[in-house]
Amino acid sequence: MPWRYVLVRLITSVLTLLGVALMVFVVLRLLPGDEITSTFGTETGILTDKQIESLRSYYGVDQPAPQQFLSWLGNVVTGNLGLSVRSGTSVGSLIRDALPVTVELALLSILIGLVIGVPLGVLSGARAGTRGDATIQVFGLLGLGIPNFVIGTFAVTLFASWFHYFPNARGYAAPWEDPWLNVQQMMFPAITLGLALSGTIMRTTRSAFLETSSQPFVRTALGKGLSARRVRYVHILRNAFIPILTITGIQFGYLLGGTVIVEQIFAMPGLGRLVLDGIGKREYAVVQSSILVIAGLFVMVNMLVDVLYARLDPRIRYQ
Amino acid sequence: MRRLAGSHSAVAGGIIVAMLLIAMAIAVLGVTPYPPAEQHPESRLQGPSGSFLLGSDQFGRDVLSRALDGVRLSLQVSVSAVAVAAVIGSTIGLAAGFFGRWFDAVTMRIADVFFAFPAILLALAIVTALGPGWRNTAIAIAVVYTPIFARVARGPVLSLRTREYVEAAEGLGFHPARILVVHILPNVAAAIIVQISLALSWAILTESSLSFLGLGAQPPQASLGLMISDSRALATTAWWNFAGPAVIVAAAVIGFNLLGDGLRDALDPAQENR
Repeated sequence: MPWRYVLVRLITSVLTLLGVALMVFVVLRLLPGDEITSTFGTETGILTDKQIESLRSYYGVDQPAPQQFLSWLGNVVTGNLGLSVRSGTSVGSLIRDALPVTVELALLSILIGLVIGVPLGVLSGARAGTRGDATIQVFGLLGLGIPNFVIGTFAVTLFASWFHYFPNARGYAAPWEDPWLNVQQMMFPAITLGLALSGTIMRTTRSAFLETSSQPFVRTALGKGLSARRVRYVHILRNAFIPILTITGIQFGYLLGGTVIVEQIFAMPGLGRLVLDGIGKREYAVVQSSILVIAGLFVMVNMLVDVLYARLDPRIRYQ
Repeated sequence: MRRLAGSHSAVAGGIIVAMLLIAMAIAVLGVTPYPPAEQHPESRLQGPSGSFLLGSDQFGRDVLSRALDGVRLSLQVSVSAVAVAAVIGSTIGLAAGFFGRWFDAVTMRIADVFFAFPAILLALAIVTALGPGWRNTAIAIAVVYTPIFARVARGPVLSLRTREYVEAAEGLGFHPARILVVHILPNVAAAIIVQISLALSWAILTESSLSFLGLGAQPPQASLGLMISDSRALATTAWWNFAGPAVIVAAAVIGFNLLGDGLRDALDPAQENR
């Protein structure tokens, strides 16, 4: 394990996250109004100057911007993400409730994407140029091109409106509370996201498969009498695994973005829903922190993929 | 060009894109079957028929006319956003790759921060800050895509700038701007063109996703994402409100994607098809 590399990667990730925090802070600072107007709405108008002044100092918005940023950052690091005025709970606890939903959804989607995408990619690569290959490629393209909100809307329409089957209406059930309900709730959102992912994974698997199958060791394996099937799934796939891993890591970001939309369609109480609800209700403490957590997840996954990459392929050396 | 015509994906993508442009032209010229906002209260929620080719919505507006206008809006937002991102991003990328040193380091670290966000989430945050609407959607897409173009343009410059002909031009004392434009840009252009097509595909996806979420174009403006979002309430009674716009969005995204793939195969054969 190249520990030095892990350390360097860890430090750059932390720096990137700092940049992310700064950007979230700056972007949301562009918003009209501040915590006071967003909390009190139109009632801000009837506050006296004195009240506004004391509120400004209570929320800390009378401080200079860099100082506000540092104190916000300090709070984030110590786990104090502020208070959601509407729900009367801390943002931290809102995120703690929402995070498992999004993580489970993302992991299941990746699983579905891999389960559909990898075998299809291998089949397509093994039959390159045939009609079967063309069919699979068209499928991949459809998976890639049909927006997830279209697939999601279609699924909800089909099951909720026509068959009156909408398990998500009953509130989120954690897998350890009610595994069966959880599976029902997760199934369609995960398929919605997984389908798009499977298109990308299929294409990557196909091209990696084609590239690997022209290597001499494949000819050797076939020459010594191993079955084509064994060579395909053990020898070639193992070597094609690195690009598949990379693309899966890259797609994780896409997936986190997709959860925002899919959670909204399927009414799932995840991080994406938290962001959108926060935007709708002008609760910027919630929006700010949720976006930060999602970006943090993304940076972490990318780091993990890079490190795994170095571990899986001993040919890769980092300075 | 011949290589382009030989690629199935380029041809299929080209046909779809041409059809989108025709749809846009119809909307721009105002020759849609009906004005997109015209209501026909006597024929609400009609199925597809001779008078309403793709059916009508809950206000008796023609779905086809609205979809055509939605394509116009989508292309208008996407093309302007991608054009801005391509010009600014490529310029920054060229300069970063050419001048190197601290400028390169700083711009690429800033790009890293942009890449740390899932793209749609970043667009969402920007639209939230600027307020909903199609103009701000365009700005958000441009901001998200600028660093991507910067990275695409920078990569090849790094290796090009050590080539003999570039060093020769430097030795002759040409201005760096001239070297960048005359000697380096033509060799990076292929990668940028491919990226433009792929970016358009993603921009259309983002525009429609944001308007689906209610953060893009605002009613009564017709937009494909909004139409699909509105169709949810009508799902059991009027499926055509969903079908038409859904097929068009998917075709637009796939069309530019295919064109991008085809262009990559034709212009940049060295690069593997990913």
